Amino acid sequence: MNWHRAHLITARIGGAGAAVGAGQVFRWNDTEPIRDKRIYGVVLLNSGDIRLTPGLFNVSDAEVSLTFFSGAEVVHGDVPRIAVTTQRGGRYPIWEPVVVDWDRSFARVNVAKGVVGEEYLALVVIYSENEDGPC
Amino acid sequence: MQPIARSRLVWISLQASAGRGTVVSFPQLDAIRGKAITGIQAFSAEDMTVTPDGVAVIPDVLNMFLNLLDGSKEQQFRIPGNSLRTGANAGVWKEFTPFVPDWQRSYVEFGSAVVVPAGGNSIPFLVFYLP
Repeated sequence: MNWHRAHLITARIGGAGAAVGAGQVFRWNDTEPIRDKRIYGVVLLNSGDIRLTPGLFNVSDAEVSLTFFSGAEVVHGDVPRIAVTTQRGGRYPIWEPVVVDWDRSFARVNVAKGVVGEEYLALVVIYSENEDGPC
Repeated sequence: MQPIARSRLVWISLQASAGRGTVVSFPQLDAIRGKAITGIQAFSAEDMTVTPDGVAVIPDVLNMFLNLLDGSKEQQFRIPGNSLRTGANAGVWKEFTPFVPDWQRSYVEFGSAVVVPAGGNSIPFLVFYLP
């Protein structure tokens, strides 16, 4: 569970004050620094981990599942929120390194919810700068 | 625990209440058919309330057993459901020596009656597999 490099990305859930319907998908922002990097894992943060994003928006606890593409292939499909948080004994999944296509990858909301103000999913992405990076 | 090469959420749907000994098969799983699996997790409503198709997740998996078969060979036989929930096992998921399950023959079995509400229940599994 060695964090070689880590980068926080966010996804805005719904519009300001707008309810979010089940099945809506949202894509990730701030992914430029991790494009073409080898990704080793992700950790989805709860509002109990951090209350606000670096942009000072509320962190969302929306019930989501995450899908990650590498090229056209789904490498991790519909991963439930609980499987990528650290709420289970501090453990989170470590992946075989993979280059993720962030334009295709998304978070899907599975349970409709109201949104007060603005809220964002917050995802820590663990990655390596090069092929020699440790896992 | 070994790094995870690929993972995919799949689920079994329960449309009617089940009794002791009832078995329920997996649906057609094209995305992972023929793939060697390296691990699996199960979830109950305590972990996630609905599957992506909007069906409520089963309240608990205490009376459920998972059977994974490779042809007629029982590769993993009667794994207790709660031992597959990472929430109940300090975040540790079940890892396997890689094998290719026959999903058409693999099934879930119930040790006691399960009452399924209108609209059904689903039992989700996160399957770890090799490309």
